[in-house]
Amino acid sequence: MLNGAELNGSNNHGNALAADRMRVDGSAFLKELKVTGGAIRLTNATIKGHLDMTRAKLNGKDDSDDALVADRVCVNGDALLTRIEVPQARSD
Amino acid sequence: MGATITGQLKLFKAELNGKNDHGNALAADRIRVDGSVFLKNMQVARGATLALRYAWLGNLVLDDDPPPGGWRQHNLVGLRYEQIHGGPAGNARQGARLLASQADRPRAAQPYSQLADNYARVGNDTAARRLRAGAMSFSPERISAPGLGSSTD
Repeated sequence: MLNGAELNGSNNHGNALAADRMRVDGSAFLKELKVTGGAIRLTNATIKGHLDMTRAKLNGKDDSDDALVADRVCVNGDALLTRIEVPQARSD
Repeated sequence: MGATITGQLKLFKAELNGKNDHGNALAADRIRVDGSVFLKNMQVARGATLALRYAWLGNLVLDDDPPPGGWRQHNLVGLRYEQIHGGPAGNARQGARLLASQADRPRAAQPYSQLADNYARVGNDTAARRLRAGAMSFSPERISAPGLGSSTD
């Protein structure tokens, strides 16, 4: 559960949270997550419940200007991105 | 891309003001969502693309009004859905515009038959018939007729 967490750093790939191939047997709560350091990576993650990113503010980007990378993620419940906020790209 | 969601995907009031280095505000190609996908009241960066190529959606829920700038900036090639609500679902003229916006993209045209099927399912046989008849050109004018929906879209 990362509700309300603030992730201000990043690794050397520009990721604030690297959760590739993560497996969650319940739900993943990232509500009101605030990210400034880099991207959130959920590539190939499996979440057996819901993924809740309601009101998350994704102000970080990786090297490709992606704020959230969730390729091939599998969510067996709902994916809630209601009121998620992604700011302007660096190049805009 | 290639994500699988067995429930719903809600992007209600999402503010996607950025775009990646491919110009996408949302890159969801080949996503599969068994439930409803809510793309309502969203804010998308000017000139940025919602990419839903070859996505499969159980129920696509859109705003009644077309997105600012129209559908042309978004890539819906190969998008499939079982049902559609809002926007093109109740407005055949807007539906034709959506199809026309994608018709000249390479590889695959947006399937018109699923929208026509949706019209037929909700009892709008005239819109379904006209959409099928106009499928070769996807011209909004060819299916614009009294009772088919607003001409203000």
